[in-house]
Formats: sequence, C-alpha cells, structure tokens
Amino acid sequence: MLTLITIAATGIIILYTTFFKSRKLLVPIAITGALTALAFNISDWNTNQLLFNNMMKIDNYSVAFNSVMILSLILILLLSHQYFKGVDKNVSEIYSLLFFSFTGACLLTSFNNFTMLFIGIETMSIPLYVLAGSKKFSIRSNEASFKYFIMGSFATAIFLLGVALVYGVTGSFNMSEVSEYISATAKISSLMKLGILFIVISIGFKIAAAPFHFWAPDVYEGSPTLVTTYMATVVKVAGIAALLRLLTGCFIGAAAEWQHILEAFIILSFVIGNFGAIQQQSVKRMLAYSSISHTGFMLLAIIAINQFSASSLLYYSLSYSLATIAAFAVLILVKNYKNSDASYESFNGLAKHNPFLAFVMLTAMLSMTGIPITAGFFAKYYVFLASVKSGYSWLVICAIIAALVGVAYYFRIIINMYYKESNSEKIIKDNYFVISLIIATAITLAVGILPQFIIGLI
Amino acid sequence: MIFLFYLLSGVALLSALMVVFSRSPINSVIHLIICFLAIAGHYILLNAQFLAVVHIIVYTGAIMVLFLFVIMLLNLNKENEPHKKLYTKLAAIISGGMLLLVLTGAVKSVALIPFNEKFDSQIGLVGNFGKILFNEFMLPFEASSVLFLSAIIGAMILGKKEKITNNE
Amino acid sequence: MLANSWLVLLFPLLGFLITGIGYKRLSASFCGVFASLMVFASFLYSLILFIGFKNGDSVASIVNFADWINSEKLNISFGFMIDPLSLTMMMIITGVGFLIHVFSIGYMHNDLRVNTYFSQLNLFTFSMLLLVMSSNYLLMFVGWEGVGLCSYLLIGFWYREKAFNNAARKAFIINRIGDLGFIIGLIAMFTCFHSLDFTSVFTQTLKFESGNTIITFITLMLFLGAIGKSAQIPLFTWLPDAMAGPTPVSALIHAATMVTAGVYLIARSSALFILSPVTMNLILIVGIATTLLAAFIALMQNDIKKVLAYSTISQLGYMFVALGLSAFTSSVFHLTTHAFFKALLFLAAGSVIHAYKGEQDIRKMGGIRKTLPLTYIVFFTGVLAISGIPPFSGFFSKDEILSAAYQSNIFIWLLLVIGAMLTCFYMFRLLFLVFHGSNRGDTLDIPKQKKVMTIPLVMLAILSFAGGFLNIPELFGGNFNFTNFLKSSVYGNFFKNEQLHSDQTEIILLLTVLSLSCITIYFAYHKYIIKHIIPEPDSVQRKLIPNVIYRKFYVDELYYSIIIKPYNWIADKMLPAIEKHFIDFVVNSIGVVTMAVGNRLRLIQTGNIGFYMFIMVAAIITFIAAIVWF
Repeated sequence: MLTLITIAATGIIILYTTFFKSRKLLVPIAITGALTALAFNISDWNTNQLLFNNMMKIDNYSVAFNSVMILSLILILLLSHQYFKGVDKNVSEIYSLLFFSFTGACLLTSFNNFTMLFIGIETMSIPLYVLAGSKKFSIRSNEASFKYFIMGSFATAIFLLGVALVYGVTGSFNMSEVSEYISATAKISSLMKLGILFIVISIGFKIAAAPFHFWAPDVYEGSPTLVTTYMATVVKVAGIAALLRLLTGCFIGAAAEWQHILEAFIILSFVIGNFGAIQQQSVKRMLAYSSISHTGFMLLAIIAINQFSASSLLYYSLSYSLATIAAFAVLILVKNYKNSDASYESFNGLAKHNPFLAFVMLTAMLSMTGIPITAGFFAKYYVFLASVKSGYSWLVICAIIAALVGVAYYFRIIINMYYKESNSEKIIKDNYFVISLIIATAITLAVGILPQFIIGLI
Repeated sequence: MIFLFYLLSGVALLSALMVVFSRSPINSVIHLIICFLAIAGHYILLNAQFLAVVHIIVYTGAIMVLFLFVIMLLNLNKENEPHKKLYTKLAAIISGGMLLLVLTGAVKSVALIPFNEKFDSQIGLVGNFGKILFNEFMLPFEASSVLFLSAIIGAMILGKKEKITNNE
Repeated sequence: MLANSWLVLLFPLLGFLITGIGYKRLSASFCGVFASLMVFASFLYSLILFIGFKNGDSVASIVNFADWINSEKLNISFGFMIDPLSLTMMMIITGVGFLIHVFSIGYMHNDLRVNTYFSQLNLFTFSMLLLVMSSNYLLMFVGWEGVGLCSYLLIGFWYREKAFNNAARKAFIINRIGDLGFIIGLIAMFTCFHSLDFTSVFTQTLKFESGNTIITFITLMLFLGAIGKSAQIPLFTWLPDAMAGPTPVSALIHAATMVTAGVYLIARSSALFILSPVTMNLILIVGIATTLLAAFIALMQNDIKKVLAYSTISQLGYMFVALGLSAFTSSVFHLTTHAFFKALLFLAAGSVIHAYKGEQDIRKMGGIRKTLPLTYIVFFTGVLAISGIPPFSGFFSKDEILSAAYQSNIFIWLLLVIGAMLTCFYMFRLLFLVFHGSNRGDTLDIPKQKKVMTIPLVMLAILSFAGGFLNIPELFGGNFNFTNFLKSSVYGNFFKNEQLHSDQTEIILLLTVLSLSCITIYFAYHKYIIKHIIPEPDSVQRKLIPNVIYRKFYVDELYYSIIIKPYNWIADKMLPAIEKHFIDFVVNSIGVVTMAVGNRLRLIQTGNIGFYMFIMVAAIITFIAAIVWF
C-alpha cells in the first residue's frame, strides 16, 4: 500500500516543482520517489495482505512484478533527463502524469476486485492518452494520442460490458467469490463465457495482442519515443501481469474457455508481429511490431497456467523490459543525433565511433532474439518449458519458428552497426543516460548467466 | 408499474432509433437526450434514485451539452453527411447483424439467473449507496481521485494555448 | 570460511572488470599493481582455505551458492568443490600466477596496451580458477572455454603482426576440436548419469563394471578434450605457435596452468577413467608418443621459446603417462613441480629476450651469463629441475612417474628414460648456447635488472629447487606428504611401489637414470662448450633424419595435406553444386516468401481508425461465435 501512496505522492510533489522552475531537481526527485517506492515494495515481500475489504491483495506475485516495473520506471526516468533537454513546457506535468499512470500499473498487479482492475486500467491509460500527445506540435503525436484514445475507449467499453456480464451471473465483483462461483457450477453459462471473453479481449487490447494490436504500431511510432518506451515496457508488463492474476485468481475454473482465445491471440501475434516487423524500414516501427510478437511469447506462459507460469512470465517481463528500454534508449540517441526517422540506415557504422552504444544495442537485440548469455534465452526457454508442461507443444513449435523469423530483423540492426560504414561521430550522452544503459545491459547479462535468481523467486 | 415500464422502454427504443435515423446531428442529440431520460426513468422504477439523478446530471446534462458544443463549433449541422463507401456499409451491416445474431443466440441459450435472495431493494437510495461507497468501496473511490487528477492535468496540457516553439 | 570461497574468484574478476573498464583512464602502473594485488589476495584466501582444510576434518566439501540452471532434468548449481585437488590447483594458479603478474609489470612496462594485457591476464586467472573450483562439469566447461578465450586473446596480443594473429587462430581452432569432444562427452555423461555434478556422477560410477562401453565412450571424448587443451598428439601443433604471445603469457598459460587443464580434467574424473582400460591404455600410448616426439623436435629447435614449448609438450606427455598408469597423484605432483620450473624457465627466457631486445634465436645469443648473472643462476636451477637432477624438484616428480612405469612394464620405463635423456640434452644445449660461449648477438645492451622482474625469478627458483620436498618418497625418509594429501581426491590405485618393488630395485633404477642423464649432459657439454658447435642456419642442406627432426616431423605439413587440402577441395566442389543450387535456393526462397507475406500483411495497417475498429469488431464477433457455438 505504501508503494502505491509513494508513487502517487511523488506525482503530486513533482507537480509543485513547476513553481520553483528548477528543472534540475525533477529527475532526482522522481528517482528518489521511485526508489522509495521500490524499498516499500520490497518490504512487502512475504507479507500476504488483503487490504480494504479485499480490494487489494499484496502477495509475492504483485511485489515481484511491481519491482520489475519500478526498475523499468527508474531506467526510463534516467533516460528522461537528456530526452527533455530541449523541451521547456509542461515537463513536470509530463513527469507527474507518468507517475499517475504508474499508480494504475501498480493497481493492476495487486487488484482483488473487478472495480480495482477497472480503475487500475483506466488510471494507467488516461494519462497515457495525454502523454502520447505530449509533443503538441507534432501531427503524428496528436494522431497517436487521438487514435489511442478512441480505440482505448472502445476497449474500456468492452471491458465494462464483460464485467457487467460476470457480475450479472455471479452477483459479485470480488475475485475469490467469482472463482468460487465458477468452481461450484458444473456448466459455465454462456453469459459468463461472454463476460470472460470481453474481459480477456480488452486486456488483450492493452497489451497489444493481435488481432487487437492495431493501435500499437501507429501509436508507438507517433508518440514521443520515451513515452513509447514506457508503453512498451511498464504498460505491457502491468497488463500481462493483470491478465495472469485475473485468469489464475478468478477464471481458472473456466480455463478451457479462455485458452482457445489465447491460442488465437498467440498465433496471430506471432504472424502479425513478425511479418510486420520484417517489412519495416523504421526501427521504431519494427520495435513496435516486435513487441506484439513478444506479447505472443508472454501469453505462452499464461496459456500454460501451471506452477511455472508466474515465474517464467516474471523472468520474461524482466528480460523483455530491459532489452526494450536499452533498444529504445539507443534509438533515441541515434534519432536525435541524425535528426532522422530512425531508419535502419541511421545505425550504420555505429560501432566504430560509439562502441558502447553499439554494444548496448547488440545485447538488447541478442536478448530479444533469445541468444544465450543474454536474459532473452532463458526467458524464452522457461516460457517454452511452461507451455510444454501443459501440453502446448504445437504452440511452442510455432513460437520457435517465430523466434527464428525474429533473427531477420533484430540482426539487421547488428549488421548495420558493425558491418556497414558511415561517417558518424561520437554521440553525446549525459551521465544519467549512461547509467541507465549500463544498468539495463548489466542486468540483462547477469540474469542471463544466473537465471535462477529470478526464476526461483515466485 | 408494468405500464410505466413498457412506456419508458418504448420511448427509449424509439428515440434510440431516431438518433440513428435522423439526418441532422442536432436532432440526433435531442433524441439521445430523450433516450437517456427514459433510461433514467427505468432507474427510478428500480428504486435507484441516486443512479437516476447522476445519469441525468452527467449524461443528459454534461455530456450532451458537450456534444452540442462540439457540433456547433465544428459546424456539423449540414445534412450532407460524408458519403461512406459501399464496402464499409456492407461490412457494418454484416458485423452488426452478426452481433445481433450471436447475442440473441447467447441469451437464448442462457438459463434464467435465479433471483438473488440477498437483494436489498433499498440499496439504490442515496444513503445506502453512500455507506457502501465509503465503506466497502473506499479504495476504488479514493484511487479514482488519481484518475481525475491526471485527467485534469491532461486537459490542461492539451488545452493550454502555447506559442509555437521549435520543440520538434 | 568455506562459504566465502567465492572470494577467491571475486578478486581476479574484480581486477578484470576494473582494469578492463577503466583501461583508457587508469595509469599503466596502477593497473599492473592492482591486477597483481588482486591475484595475491586470491592466493591468500586460497592459502587460508588450505590451512583451514588441513586443520579441519580434511574432507572434501561442496559449497553451493545458488542454483544456476534449474529445469526439469538438468539441474546445475553454481557451486565449488573444495578438496585437495582443487586446493592444489588453486594455489598453483594464484601463487605462480601472482609471481608472473609481478614479473609482467616489469616486462610489459613499455607496451602501449599494458592495461588491456593485465585485464586479460586477470580474466584468465578468473577462468582458470573457475575451471578448477567448480563442482560440476558444466561450470568447469565455462572456465574451460574462458581460458581458451583468454589464451586466444593473449597469443594474439600483438595483433598488428599477421603471423601472431594466425597463431592465435590456430590455437583457438585446434582447441575447438578438443572442446567438441568435451561437449559430446558431457552430453553422453548427462544421458548416462542424468547429472553433471562431480559427486553424483562419481557415486554412480560404482554401479558400472570396468570396461563399460558408455563409460569408455565418455572417457574417450573427455580425453579428446584434454588432448586439445594439453597439446598432445595429434593436437599439439598449436602450442609452439602460441609462443607468439608475450613471454609471461607463455609462462602462465602455455606452461604452468592452462595446458595442465587436461591433466586436471582426467585426474578429477579418475573415477570414470579407471573404469575404462581402453581409454587408459590410449592415454598411456598418446603420452609416451608425445613425450618422445616433442623431445626429439626440441633437440633441433633454434628459437628459445620454441624449445621450451616443445619441452612443455614433452613434460605434459609425462603427466599423461602417469595418468594412463592410473598414478593420478604422481601426475598432479609432476604438474605442480612443472608449473614451478617451467614458469621459471619461461620468465628467465623472457629476461634474456628482453636483454636482446626481442631476439629469440639462440644462434644469435651466447655468453650472456656475465651480463645477467642472476638470470643465469635461476635458469640453471630450472634446467637442473627439469632434467631430474637431485635434489631439485623435477627429480622427485619424474622419479615417481618412472617407477610407476617400471612396475607396469619395463619397456614403458625404457621409453621414458630415453625421453628423460633427450630432455637433459636439449635443456643443457639451450643453457650452453644461450649463456655460455661468446656473444653472437648484435644489439646487446646492458639493462639494469628491475626488482619486479628479479624477485619473481628468485621465488620461482626457490620453488623449483624445493618443490620436490613436498613429496619425499619413503626411500629418502619421507612419507609422501603430497600423495597422502591428494589421495582423497582421486579414485583408483595410487603410487604403488610401496608394495611392489623393494628399495634396492628402486635405488638401482635411480642410479641408472641418473648416470644416463649425466652422460647426456656431458655429451651436450662436449658438443656445445668444448667444441663450440653452433646450430647451422636454416638455409643449410641437412641429412635426411636431422632434416625431418628439424622440420618438426612435418606434422604441420602433414595436417595441411591430409586435412586442409582435401577440405578445401571438397569445399570448392561443393560450392556450386550444393551451396548455390540447393542451400541458397532454399534459404532465399524462405526469405522471398516471408517478405511477400509481410508485404501483404503490412497493408492491413492502413492508419484508418474506422477500418481498425471494423476489424476489431469482426474479430470480437468471430470470438463470440466460436465461444457460443463450439
């Protein structure tokens, strides 16, 4: 609970910094807030608590996922200092919106009631609609904001319809009561099935699972890159953690119903994510599509719904978040430096004058592909293991093919960085930025070598 | 009672159809208001006075006025609505029809939900509602304050007039 | 204390990270001192562990820190095995390693990339420690590959020279063959035992009969790994070329530690190897053959480091012979003394090369004992030790192997004695040509010997002299301290002479070997001191047999014509037939199809919200239909 309060309070404190016009304090305050929240969060480890009339349930699952998300948030905040250097309007508001959105994300990992789930989703999304459009004079940013808003509202409506149906059948918003109802009734009624379907679909929309991914490439591309990073990491992890929590805690009795939905999600995500990514000329758009494909991998852990699901999903979330943040961070630098549209060509010859950046990007790409000693390898391995355990071998075979296709577009960047010539120069980056990159890369390698530290947690 | 229910339902359905069919956007909005009022009447029939009032204030009052403003500002009150392509219309008809079909199928196959014995007919009154809101649902209520705060800030960021600088 | 044994690994790793990351900012002198201190700290902790082990219950212990890989069947822990064998290796690696680090401070001080050098040297120490400390084969393999990498990096340290790069590549590629064997061995082992943990595997071996086919296969594959790393026939050709690296590197990696990893591997897996007589015999044969072949080649070499390299190969052959005779402790004992005297010889050779400004050809040296008296003394110590002259360390360790051989087969003993005589000859030839006679070099300046270079030499000389006293046989009133210490780590029969042959036979054998060695030394003395014979220049036409020896038995050429040429030929023929028309076609088709599908799919991302919504609604309806009706 203190975690949540700290995050929200930090958002409000940041608002006040506008009065002092001290831009230098922004990032330190934000990071202090995030670190305090992390400390409170970790102190909740092994204290299973039900709060506020069973509205929230804080257990190791939520603590672990919160920690991954707070880590991502800290890394993103470290990147932000340089990112917002040229911007002088509304910066503190942007930071506070980021924190408010994060409050929602925290609710999503620890909800125990459909109302909390709904408020979590909305608190996470509404600031994001604004953040997506925070580059006010860029048409693409406005377009992204608008698209995200319209389609997000659509998903919200679907979600509410689903919750209403579930409530109609069970007469309760409480997860455990719904779960008891499902296990008590022999035959699941059609209305319940519809309710589950609508809820799963709307969360699928938030995590950009095909065929509800349409917003993702456009919004990811149009939004300010830092916001895209946030969307691709924290928002996706929160959504997927909420989905697993919902499905295990509430709808586990109806597994046969939603597993078919997820099968379709996974296959379509692989197809659309990979084939979409392979065609792109812009790295940002490629990363957007690749994040759709990663959603497919993460859903593999959920569809398995066994004792490995949570731990493998946690590991995947961590490795995916770190790699994504590192990749977007390098992209930000390259894009700003070249003042370009972040095509593959702008990465040409990066290794020559910026060996550090090239190495960071290399690790990120290898991790996303799933090459050993980076975290991505064991991430995929454990996810595959979990789903094979539950008899989804055919899905794993599809996933392996998808991972192989992934090599095509991830390695393209590596080839451009290391084997193509260009007359680029050293890119300037501030210390916060470098620290963020080092942390991301170091953890990627460390948990890639010692996966047991993460996989044994929950 | 039964008569009132059918009357209100008839009004709601009729006005909802009029929303779709009327040519002028202004007329559509007016019909939508009538539709909402009819639904608010339903709430009163269900002894949910708070919900009825909130419905009127929020939907009929705030949102509909907003709609009217938008229509007036954008000057949409022309009867020539943009011409849709044939395949869009076709797709809309097919998907709408299928939704109807599927939902009917779903509802038909559903067994009637047993009447909940615990149901308290006084639950919709303002006093009881407040008690539940500030006891059981305190956390969601408080958490939504963050939501509103961020909405306010968002509106401020997007709506504030700024001189165009070279941000990009 | 045991629980903190990871500290041993931490220090070199820290050294590697700090010198490696800060290689541009840190000063060269700091890096050298810091790297050495890290290894010294590691040595101290190994010593503490050793003392604790001796004073404690002296039982091998497994320290598990964390699970490393934990999946269904494969459970690998991140753990260390602290037992006499690993403690011995740790002390050699960190002790000798520290002295060589210190020597390097002086030796490398003019080099531009000295910081990189030290970080790589620290990384090597880390990997080597990981290799010997790990409690399972997989973690050991990590160290195994780590040392391979460092070896590659350091051989090619002066990478601007193309020949050095090629040498590094040769070492790496030839080692790959051995590594492949190692990997196959591990897989076979896992299939057989369902575990890669030392304790688990070794306990399970009790269930197997001697001569079991699977065990034979596993051991053969592990032996292949050992052959690659320890430069035995047929994979020994990389080691002489590896002398391209800086001399301290040759001392540390290619003499004292890394090349003995193969010996360590077999000694560690003794429980497996004793179950397979076939493999043991093969080890024996390979060991003898390598000993003799390398010794013969060393007779005619004119490069000071190459002579030492071939002598290393030959001495490693001795160790393998001991392994093949299942005298594992003797082998490890020889490994220990060899680490001392060979490191000493290399470092002393480094001093000589330093003094000659990089000249390595012994024909262009001579008489340097007057300018480098200290180096002369320590080199002489090393030569006496390697030649097995009592009471120097080599005498004791070689004697153990010889008597083990004698018990097994007099013929083997005879061959080993020939090897020992050859060793005496080429070592004294080297000594006489380099340090005695007149100076034939052009550019001899008189460098002031730095303390950082002389002190390690003296320390190693003391060790080379006294190292043998660790394991004094009963014949001389000792009680085999070292053997008894190591006994608990290895399986199988130990040094057997206590029961089998009497002191008299022992003394007769000793005297025979000694007198033969002395005759050989006199022969060398006669040839190079009295008659002042200098090896002929390369251009001279030699007789058939000397020419074959001089050309290193044409092994490299042989490999070239039986492996590389046919390989190139096949590759040439395959290129158009299979590569172009089959593989390329298939691969390209996959690419073309993928791109085409991608192109189609891209079109649904139109950017039109209405269209997106339509597809989403359509998808929802499909889902509902599927759910309701199926």
